[in-house]
Amino acid sequence: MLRYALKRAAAAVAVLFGITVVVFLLLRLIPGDPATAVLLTMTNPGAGSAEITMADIEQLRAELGLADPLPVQYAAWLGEILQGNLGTSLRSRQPILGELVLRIPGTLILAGAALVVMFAIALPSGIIGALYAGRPADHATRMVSLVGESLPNFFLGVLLIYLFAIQLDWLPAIGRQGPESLILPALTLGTGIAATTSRLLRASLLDTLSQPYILMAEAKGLPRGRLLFRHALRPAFVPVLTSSSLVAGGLLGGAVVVETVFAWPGVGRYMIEAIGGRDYPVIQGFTLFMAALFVTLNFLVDILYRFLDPRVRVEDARHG
Amino acid sequence: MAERLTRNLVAALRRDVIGLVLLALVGTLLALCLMAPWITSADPTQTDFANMLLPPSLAHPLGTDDFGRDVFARLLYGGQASLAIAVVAVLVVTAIGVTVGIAAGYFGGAVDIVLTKVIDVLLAFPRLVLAIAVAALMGGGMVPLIIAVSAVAWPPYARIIRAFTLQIRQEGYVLAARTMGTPAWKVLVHHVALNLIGPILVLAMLDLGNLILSISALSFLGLGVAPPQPEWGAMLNEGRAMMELAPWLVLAPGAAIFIVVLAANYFADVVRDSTEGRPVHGPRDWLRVGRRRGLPDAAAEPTVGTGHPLVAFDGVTVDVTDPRSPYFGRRILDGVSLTVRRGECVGLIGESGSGKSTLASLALGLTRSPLALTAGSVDLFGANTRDWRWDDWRDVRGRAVALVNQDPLSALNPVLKIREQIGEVMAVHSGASRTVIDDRVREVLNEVHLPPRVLDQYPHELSGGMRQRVVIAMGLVNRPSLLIADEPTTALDVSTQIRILDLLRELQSRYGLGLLFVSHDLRVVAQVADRVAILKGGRVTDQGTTEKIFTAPREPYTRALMAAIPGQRRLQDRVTGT
Repeated sequence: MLRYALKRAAAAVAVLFGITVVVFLLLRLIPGDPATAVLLTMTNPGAGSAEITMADIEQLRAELGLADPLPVQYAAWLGEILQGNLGTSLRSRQPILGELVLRIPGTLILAGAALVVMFAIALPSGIIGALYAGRPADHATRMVSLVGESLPNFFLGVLLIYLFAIQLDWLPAIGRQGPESLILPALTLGTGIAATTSRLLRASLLDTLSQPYILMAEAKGLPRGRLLFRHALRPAFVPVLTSSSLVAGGLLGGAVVVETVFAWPGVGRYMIEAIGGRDYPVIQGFTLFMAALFVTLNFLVDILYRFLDPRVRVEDARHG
Repeated sequence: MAERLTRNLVAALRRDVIGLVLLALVGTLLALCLMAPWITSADPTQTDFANMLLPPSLAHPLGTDDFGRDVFARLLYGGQASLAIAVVAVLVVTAIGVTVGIAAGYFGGAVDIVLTKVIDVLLAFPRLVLAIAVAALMGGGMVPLIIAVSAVAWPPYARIIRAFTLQIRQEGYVLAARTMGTPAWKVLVHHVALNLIGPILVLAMLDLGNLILSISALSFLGLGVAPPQPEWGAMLNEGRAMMELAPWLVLAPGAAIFIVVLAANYFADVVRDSTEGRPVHGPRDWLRVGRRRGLPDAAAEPTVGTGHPLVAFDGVTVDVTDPRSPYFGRRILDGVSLTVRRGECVGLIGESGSGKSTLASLALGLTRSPLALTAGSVDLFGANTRDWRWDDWRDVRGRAVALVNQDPLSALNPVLKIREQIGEVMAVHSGASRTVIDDRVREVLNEVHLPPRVLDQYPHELSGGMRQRVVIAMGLVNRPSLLIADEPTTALDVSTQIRILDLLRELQSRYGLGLLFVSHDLRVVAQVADRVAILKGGRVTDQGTTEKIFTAPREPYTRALMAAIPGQRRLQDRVTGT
């Protein structure tokens, strides 16, 4: 187990290294000269390039680390990252990591609540879909999850605001004031990802139910509930868990959109504000931060998966 | 593959009302967008501050926005932009995905390693986050949007195409072409790429909805088409502020995106079904929560002296009754009659496909769709089971009748410990206390000659023989009166086989267990059975005492079977005890 965890951790670190390369190269995507572009937006959006002096450009180039050859730049940048320095925001002049850490709880709370919503939708609909496969109840749950999957989350969010905040005035439309303001953003984010999980669970449960060991459990005279929840559901969850990176990706990406719709204070909104201000280091730092978070989540799920399926645990012991 | 797919799609659509409606909706929307200049005379970017935020009317079918622009015109022209971006993105994504996938799969080696690493790293980003970053750094606009969306969408394609290519590379005709010295590009185009059209179409179809959603999300965040020009996602964002006064500003583009994505996802579902589509069947009738019919006393207390056979099959006929099954109409069992009495072992012999397992499962009411009992009756302990519901069956299963399955590898639940799998059979039937159950579980383990340490092990930690004995222990824990053993020794090696057969015989004589022993192995049956029935093509062709069947077979099929046993002489000696 420990050996497996270490092996996976090593793989995760290798991927993280690859991620830093991609994130580093991202800054080269800025059209033209990044320093000039930044200065143009920082000073005055309407100003012409005439008002920017060469000295300003050179200074900023040095600050952005654009003066040296690429490998040197990368090594220096990576050194800073490893010391926990994601750079400073061009606008607020604050360290980016601090700003992200300050805002990540908001995003995690939103994502956690969305996960609850997702399970509240996906578990029953996946189970009903499998139990009543091919019958009206199955078709109904499939249509519902199809609709959930196809509604853009920004549209759903706006609709929910219109209905529950503007028309009915039951819930706050935007911002974060008290627990009730979490409801609409969590619903919006959770609904979109519920469909994937529900579909996977349905297929996996159907497959499990046709396994010989379920026939055997039936032959043992087990009650329905035990048959379903103890014997079928747990093995059925294993394939669902292996594709959980889809869910995690949907949560992290969706959070950016949902935070924008609901003006929810989290890292996503911070990123969108940075885009508006062309705060390139923030965009870069945010991307690296989210990718690292994503890799960590996937790593944890991978370990959890070992606990859910004892078969894989033994394979690890054998093949290390 | 592509051909089969189209055929399946067309066939599926013909009966699919929802699909047709969606197709019509999207078709209309597409046609309206493409013919926008002929549909509406309004200019999508023409501001008119005298006519701001007008509700829908004849002049403005979808009202006007806060700049007095006609929303209907903006929706149609915006659709052109949205759909054009989607089409280009799909093409770019497939092109990159296919090229990289084929290159990695076909050339292998260093090329493969580098490309696979690139794919791995890109997949390690949350998809939308990376797309937002790329689009934001490139400054927004139509081309950056396409690049951003494509950059994050191609890796899954490449990965799947690579797997397909690896597979095709090993096909005989590709190997032949390569050994004949055909240039690589020719092999790639003629043999590899053409075979990939099917999978590529399926992939593109499955991902289209997602792609459109990402595109519109990016536009919504202001990373798409520049402001005065209309685009659906951007329109929705612009309309948000005015939603209270003019909800149509949000509803029109939102509904348009929703319909297109819904249609794409719906057909992705149809495609998925037609590529997978293996029918699977869960337990029969377990959802019919019917009132119990009330069990006959005999089943509740199956004791000696009632005179009824433990199980009596009377002219049972089983057919494939599900019209969706490829074997629809086939008869599996045809008027089979057979009884098993207390303390008796009946051997059921038949080649594979003769219906012997079906007969065995019938004794526990375990026949699953597509099979169904169409004639005859199954009596358990003297009671007709015809009207039994799930709960009636549940009460006898595992308590009075137990099953030992033919495959010990798959008969045990992989994620539960042995202790629980044996103990629960007792717990659900007797409601005995934990300690009583635990004592009995240890006792039954001892009976099947298993050490107590297996209690805390998982099935995969045991050998095949141990697993089979666990299954037997599961069957015996409640001391049933009838044991249905479906090929209980087939998967085992010879020494384990002998030990298990000895055990079954011992239990039979000690507890008066009735045994229906299903096997294709004549020698095994000769060892344990008192009576033998021969099953062929769903019919009992011969039936009698073991001695009679083995020493003086009358039916030609039985004679042929007996003649086929190696070392037949010795076997006959053993049966007759001479």
